Amino acid sequence: MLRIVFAFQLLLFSGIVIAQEKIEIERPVSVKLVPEKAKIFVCELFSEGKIKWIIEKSELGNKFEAKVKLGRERISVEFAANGNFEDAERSIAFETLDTAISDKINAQLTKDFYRFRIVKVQQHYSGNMEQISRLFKTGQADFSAIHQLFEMVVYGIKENEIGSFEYVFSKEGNFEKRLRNAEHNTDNLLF
Amino acid sequence: MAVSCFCQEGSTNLVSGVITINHSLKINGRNQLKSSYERRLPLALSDPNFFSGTVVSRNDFTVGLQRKLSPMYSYAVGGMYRLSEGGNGQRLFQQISCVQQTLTRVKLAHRLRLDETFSARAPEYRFRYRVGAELPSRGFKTDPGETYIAFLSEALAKFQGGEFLPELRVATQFGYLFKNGNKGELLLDLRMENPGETSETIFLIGVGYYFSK
Repeated sequence: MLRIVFAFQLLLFSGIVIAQEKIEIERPVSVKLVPEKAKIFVCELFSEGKIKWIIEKSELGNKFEAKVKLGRERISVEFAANGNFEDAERSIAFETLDTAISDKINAQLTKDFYRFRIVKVQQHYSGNMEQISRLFKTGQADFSAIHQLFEMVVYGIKENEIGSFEYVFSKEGNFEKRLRNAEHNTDNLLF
Repeated sequence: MAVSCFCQEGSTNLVSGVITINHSLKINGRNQLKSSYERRLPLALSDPNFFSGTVVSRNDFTVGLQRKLSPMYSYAVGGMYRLSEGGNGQRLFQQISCVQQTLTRVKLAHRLRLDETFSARAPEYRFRYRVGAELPSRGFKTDPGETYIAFLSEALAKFQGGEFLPELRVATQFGYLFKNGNKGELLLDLRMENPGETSETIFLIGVGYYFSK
């Protein structure tokens, strides 16, 4: 009995990172249902882009998201249910990151998996809405007013664990959070 | 008339009901044990001018082991035992498959399978390629409590007793994703053996249920 208790405690306190599962429901939404201030912000900032509005439902509540395609660039801007600006994200290539940052990220992923592939990288901006708007318009901003993160989708393999994960790193490349993307039953297609 | 397109002289159209129950047991993060039961049911002919007959009753019991190679790719091996009024049989299969969520709403799946069937007749060897697409009824992916539709198309190359026989299958699944992740489906399946020649076509109508632990 003591062995069982000891083994359980070892498992509970071992440094194994047990990833919470991320469950999000995204659905297209009519622009008529989007709060006015959100629409104005996006239309003024991305007047030449192709804009698609999404409502995102998760355990944290509902959000509106504008998915913008500006040439080859993909940008998404998130707003709370009342239309308040929350954050903006821009897809970037992993290779464009500074070596100091990418080395830290690779080190973390190498520690978590024996094999991995970075599928998607997004640069995440939150904080002062005017400075973020200025950043997208001119490429310049007061970065002390902007909180930056990197969000990544990673396919990872570690012994008997394999899956798709969402990682969050700080702008310096320090690990902040990991969530496992929920898997769905696909037996009707594969079996 | 559309009916005449299926009915070349010497061709037969058969109709059958089918019930399938599929179970998936997660062994660990990479391996799953799959098992399924399929029952083919003879159906009374509603249109004897079109259907020349029905099938014999049979029960298929399948067990397989699936291993993930990556979040998209997996391979599986397994076997099937058939209890049939027309004679029992055993089958072995090996497959590799991949599934991906595209940038649009479609979940696309490919399956490459080899199977070997042994019964009272000569052994039959089949090489099969199947492509399938699942679309949610709303949103970008099928969420629990929502419906979906899936289309599958499969080409089979069959070799038995020195003879080659092609087969083409097309199926439509109208499904519902339960909140616990299980799936229920209404199936419409069309199987054409030796299409274009004196073919045997089987129309399958049935229900399926997929559950997992």
